Amino acid sequence: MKKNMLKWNVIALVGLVIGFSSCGEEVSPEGGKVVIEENVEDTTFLDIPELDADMAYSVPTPNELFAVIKESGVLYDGSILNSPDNIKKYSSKKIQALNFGVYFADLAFASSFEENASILSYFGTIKVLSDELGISNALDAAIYEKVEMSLESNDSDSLLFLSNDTYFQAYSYLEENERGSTLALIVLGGWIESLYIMTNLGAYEEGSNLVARIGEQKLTVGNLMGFMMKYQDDSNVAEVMEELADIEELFWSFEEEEGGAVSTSQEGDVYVLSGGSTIMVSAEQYEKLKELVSELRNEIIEGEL
Amino acid sequence: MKRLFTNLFLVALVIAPSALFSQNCRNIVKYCDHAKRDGFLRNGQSLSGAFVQGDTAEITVVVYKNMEYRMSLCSPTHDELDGKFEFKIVEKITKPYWDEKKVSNVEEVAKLDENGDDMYDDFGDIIYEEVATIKTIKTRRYKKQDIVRYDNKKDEDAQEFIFISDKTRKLTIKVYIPAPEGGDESQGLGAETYACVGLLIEHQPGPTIGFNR
Repeated sequence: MKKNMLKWNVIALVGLVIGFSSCGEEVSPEGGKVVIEENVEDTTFLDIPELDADMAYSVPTPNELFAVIKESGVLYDGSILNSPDNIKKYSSKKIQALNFGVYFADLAFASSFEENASILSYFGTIKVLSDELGISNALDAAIYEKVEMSLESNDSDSLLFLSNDTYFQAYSYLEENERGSTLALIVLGGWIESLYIMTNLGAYEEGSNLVARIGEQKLTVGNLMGFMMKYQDDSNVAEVMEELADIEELFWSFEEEEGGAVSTSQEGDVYVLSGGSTIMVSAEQYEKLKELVSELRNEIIEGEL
Repeated sequence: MKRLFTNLFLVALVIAPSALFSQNCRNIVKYCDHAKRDGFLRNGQSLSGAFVQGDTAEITVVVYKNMEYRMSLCSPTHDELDGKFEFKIVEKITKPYWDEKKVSNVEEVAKLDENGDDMYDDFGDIIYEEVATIKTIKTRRYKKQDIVRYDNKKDEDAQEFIFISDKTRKLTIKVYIPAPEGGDESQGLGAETYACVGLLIEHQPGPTIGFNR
């Protein structure tokens, strides 16, 4: 229904969105026909991909994303993360799973930037939530001690490995135990928190690395929906998918600009994939995304979803 | 009643191997050789599953700019498949273009004089004229084209693919799971026709390619 309404809105907007408009009016003799020509540029077209039920869709983890974000030259800001104190607000399994994802993204962000104090605190919070969700068996029993040892020896590579492995273990355990709907909520919570962090790390700057990384999430949102689609029979998953609809539609409106020629070359054992289109984000789209993500993220961390 | 039981038994016989295999194959990827020693971290986009031998499985992943990835396959339940997987990495390239469409609309409107007032004929009736509006609507559309980025058949059947990318992109991995020796038919519908396959994806920060701001 929402999709149909959207289509009609798009059609109505065609008349309003005028990128360039040149009108030529031909005035005819009395009683004749007047011809007015208009050029209308419609950029409101949504590039909605079709999801294939037979395809397996994977979603990158927050660890991987923040390793890339760190290279963008942004600075760490711990004040934007979800406070571990909020854990007492999470009583339902749905909100616990969503916030497990949120805290995991916060841990990944802190680990990437080697923020030791936050790392220990978020590992502790994740441990408590994993008990609540019944997945503590999946996690390495000695994880907390290992983290403490790595912090003492200032071994940032080891911390990154532990953070990555904790996610991998929780993910695998849920898959093995047919708890895909819990996994879907964790993945969504982690993605929303990652987007929230990214959109709060700096103001819009056209062509900046940070804005480019945010725009590229257009590729991930399709995979996220494809991944969640498998578990949409679960009412909790279906509800959060609906909450995500506005953000998803905004991503489909991001334009793509044709880039360099597509090529695959080889340097030693490593292949290099180059070329292809670039996803563009306007200042308005950036602000709208920031607003929508903040709204949904705040509902999650306040335990109101 | 006996017939019903027979039918149910036959259905179970067909479904059970795949269901059983599907369960046992969960997280099988953890048994694939992990290149931790080279600095790679296990990537959450790795996949495990039960697949019919002779079939092709497809998975879509997102890879980030300037990360180095390693993709490899293994089948801990069917050692004989190791080294025989065929896989392709395909990218759907987006080509943006403008789609032009002319829409015309004719309506009768009151004819106006040079002062902008309605014009009347000798009988005092308003004079109408036909106004045709021709709109050329240019709509932004995207053409998708499949480009094969890598085919291990053309790389001496290599069983791992290590790559970096100058852009974040979505890739589809098409894996062909080889049919058992002697063909499918000799195996019937038994569990032997299924294999647990793990697609292991690993990542680590790679060298920076292209421009940075």
